[in-house]
Amino acid sequence: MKECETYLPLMMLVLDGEASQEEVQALHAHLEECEACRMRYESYLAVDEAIKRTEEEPPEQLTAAIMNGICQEKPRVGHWLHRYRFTAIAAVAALVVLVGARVTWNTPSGKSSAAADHMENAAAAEMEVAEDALEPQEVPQMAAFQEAPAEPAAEVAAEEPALQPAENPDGGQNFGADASLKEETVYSSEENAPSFPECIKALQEAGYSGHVMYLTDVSREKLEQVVPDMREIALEDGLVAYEIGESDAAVVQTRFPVSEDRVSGTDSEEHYFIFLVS
Amino acid sequence: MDEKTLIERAGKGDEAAFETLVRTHEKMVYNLALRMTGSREDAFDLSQTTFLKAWHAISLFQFDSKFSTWLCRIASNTCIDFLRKEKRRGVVSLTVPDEADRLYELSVADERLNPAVIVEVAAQRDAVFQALQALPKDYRVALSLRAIEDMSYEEIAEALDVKTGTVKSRISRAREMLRQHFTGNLSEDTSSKQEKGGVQR
Repeated sequence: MKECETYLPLMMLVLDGEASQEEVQALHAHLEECEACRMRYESYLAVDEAIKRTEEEPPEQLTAAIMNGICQEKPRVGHWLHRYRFTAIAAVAALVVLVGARVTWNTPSGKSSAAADHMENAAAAEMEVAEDALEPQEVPQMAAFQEAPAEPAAEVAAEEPALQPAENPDGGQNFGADASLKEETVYSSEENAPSFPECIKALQEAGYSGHVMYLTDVSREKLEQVVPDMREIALEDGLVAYEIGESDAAVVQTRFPVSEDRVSGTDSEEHYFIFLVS
Repeated sequence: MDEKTLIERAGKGDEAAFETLVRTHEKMVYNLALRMTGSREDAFDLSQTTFLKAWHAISLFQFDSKFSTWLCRIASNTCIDFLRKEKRRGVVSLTVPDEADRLYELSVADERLNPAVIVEVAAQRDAVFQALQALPKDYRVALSLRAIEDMSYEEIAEALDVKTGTVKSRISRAREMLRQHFTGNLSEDTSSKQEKGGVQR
């Protein structure tokens, strides 16, 4: 039996076509003499055959379905990316202004300098913009998006799942499609908003990884209007993430100012998480 | 037109070239997804997703691996991610027997080694799909890739981004688990955890 055990790894190599000619001969010589090993080997062969026999022709309409999906999406890809870049830039700018304004509001003396007043006004203006941004119907009028051509909300909602591998910062060196394997996240909190790294850390500790988005000043209700079937995930320290679908993530990115957007974790993920921070 | 030219053209937006690549490789992708999910409907959807991702990434293809391996990587990741989401929705697969010794635990006299039993049980396609669903997904994907055009350990390792030793180990264990599954050697309590199996139309 001890000798037989040494032949087991060799059996696997032979079955997988990874053994040398000498190894194949050595195994077969043993199988001639050992019935137990021969039965085991034939059992494995039967397993392999069973798996191979499950092979079937794909449905005839598969090619057309694949090409149809590509044709429908193609004209929008570059356009969508272009617009998203402006969205991200505008959103980050808005966040910077808002953070500055909060610092001013928290000043104990209550005094407001001219600069602070200016920032408050700017923040208020940005918040109005953000409010507008929360209304899907208002997308075409959003100041933050004015630099990019806007599309009617209904059309945006009808977009196919947006997959932009080239945009994924984790793009593999050999496999550009790593970038296609991305996820997104959205998160929510009341006060003492957690930082983006804290959100990512909480997600990772809970065993999630994927594309993480950090939205400021977007209420859950507003998000739900756009993504009615989002899944709430309770994390440590009262953090909440919302998992959404890939196509929904694309819509969210066009509708809301995404202040942070990063892929976290392994490349084999395709989950989109949103953190809502107010 | 050779595959390299097709890939280059597709990378520049040539849909006809990409369609030729789809026709060449869709059977491979579809069958991988079918073995991974046990559902024709899911396999259809996952095949679409895989090729959509490939379309977006094909201009980044470096030609330092086979195109089919590259596609398998996208397909594998797409399937594993899908299954992970399924798991979060409450679909649980069998537990992983971590003990490496499990491979060697059967006695020489074990009647269940009889390959005729496996041939008989595995004659039902649904039984095979069900057995595959019972495997941990990392094992399942390695074995499924192995069943595709006899991919080598090296190619599978490349597709799954793991070491060849890991591939060898996963395939071996998957094969042994399936053998035990077909011969009724999996314990009742783990089998009862399976909530999904067989091909769904």
